Amino acid sequence: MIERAVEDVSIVDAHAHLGYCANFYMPDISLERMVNLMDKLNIKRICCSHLAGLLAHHFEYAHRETLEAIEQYPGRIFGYAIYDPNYPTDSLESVKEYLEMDGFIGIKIHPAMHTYPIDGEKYDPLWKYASDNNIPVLSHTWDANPLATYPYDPRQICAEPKLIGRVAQRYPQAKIIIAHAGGHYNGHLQAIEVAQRYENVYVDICGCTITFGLVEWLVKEIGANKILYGSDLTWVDPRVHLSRALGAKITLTEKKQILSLNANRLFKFNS
Amino acid sequence: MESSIEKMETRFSDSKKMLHFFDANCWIGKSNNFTPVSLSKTNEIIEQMDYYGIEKAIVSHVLSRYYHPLVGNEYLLQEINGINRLQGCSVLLPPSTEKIGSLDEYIKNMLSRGVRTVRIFPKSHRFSMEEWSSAVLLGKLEERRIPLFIWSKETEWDSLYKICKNYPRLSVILEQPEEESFWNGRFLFPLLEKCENFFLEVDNCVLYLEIDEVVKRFGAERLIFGTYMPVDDPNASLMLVTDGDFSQREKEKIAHENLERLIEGVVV
Repeated sequence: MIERAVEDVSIVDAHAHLGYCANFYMPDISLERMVNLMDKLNIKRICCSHLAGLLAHHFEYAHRETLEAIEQYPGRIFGYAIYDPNYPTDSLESVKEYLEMDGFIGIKIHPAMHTYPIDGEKYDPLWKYASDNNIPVLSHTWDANPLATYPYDPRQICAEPKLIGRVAQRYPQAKIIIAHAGGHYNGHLQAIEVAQRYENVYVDICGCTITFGLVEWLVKEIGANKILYGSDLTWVDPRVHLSRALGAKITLTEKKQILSLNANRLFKFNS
Repeated sequence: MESSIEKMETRFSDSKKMLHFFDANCWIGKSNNFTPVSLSKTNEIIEQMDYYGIEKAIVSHVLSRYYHPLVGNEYLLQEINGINRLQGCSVLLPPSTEKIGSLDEYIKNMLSRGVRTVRIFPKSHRFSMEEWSSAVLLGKLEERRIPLFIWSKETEWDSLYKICKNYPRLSVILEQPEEESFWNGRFLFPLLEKCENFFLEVDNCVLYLEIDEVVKRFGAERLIFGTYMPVDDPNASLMLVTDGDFSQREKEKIAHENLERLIEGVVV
């Protein structure tokens, strides 16, 4: 008798963080509390980048802390290595070193915090490396339209989703995730356009905005096979966006794609 | 075999049915916020409430915020007239800043038409919340025990503190839509600590573990359920309550009892 492999549809959080942010109060960032909440919400895997590398250019510290978390909760916590275009040589070396280690599954970039545009030349070594080695890159994106964005942050000019389109054109093999689906409405429009045009571009639904009807709209415009669930924990509570995927007016199959199957495929969790 | 996603979907749906959600923050009228779906009419909002499992809602009108408070208030009350599940929330101004007539009479009329709560937008409507400008309005609201909703982006934290202290019998409910609310914690938590008449509405309380922390430190009595539908996705507020790290009894308080208690206290 031939046994068919059981499809793993455990929930994957494709966009989360570890660590503090100096600007605001975080009630509890402990790994224990995080994994405890994951258990309660049936989240099996969480993919994290450490905030010290995004907010403070300390990518070495960030990578060490991420590795510790991975080792403490193997099979539950996974890591993104962080590339900082302000330190292109050192950070690419560090990215390569950590991506050799078990549990690191992708690269995170934050063009707004690092105040350098997504399509700028200092990112080229990263795009080439990621593209050549089939490593997914999660890029922060946000709307930078001062008339439609609240509150307006000029650093987001570096992170507009439309810039991802230029990168996807130059590196057609690169697997790129547009984080936050562009942030606000104008950013959502750009994210949709880019994801429609380029096969290897995905979007995630996390962040601090909770636009009504976004999940349904994305499914209609780009298809459920290009959408990922992310929480943005330790900034944002994982229940916020989990609820939006679970409660969306879409089919169960589409929910499985968003909450599990797409991330499993992208990060090769079942291979 | 049922997957974890099916289990969670069922659990979320069942948990919502166990609570009688009363939404403190719902809007009708064509929104100035562009969203993928545009809902503006009362029947459309009621349909959404049915879908998401929300029994009742307090509603304000977009015209009250963007065109003229008094015109919007009147329009709202006409639109929701006879709809038991929707209760109006008037947007007010200090009486000396607009031809409002007698504030007493305006409030009496408002109460006679079922309104039990008020919102103010000091920044958008360009008036001061300090005593020299808003004392009469705030005093009247306190006298009648009418709960006051105010958005964090519409005020200053020091002003909020002063209002809570100067009007201790006025229930002040903070709402945080249209901003990155997780920045607010270092203002919010001391206010909750210092002022017992200060409450937090849960829409856009996206900060990791924020709701659980408020319940743990200050009690479930300080939280009011709200969604800011149809701009924000109501699923988020719903799950923060259904899957909160606190008891079912505390969930009931947040879902509807706290708001009902404040409304029952209004002197009609």
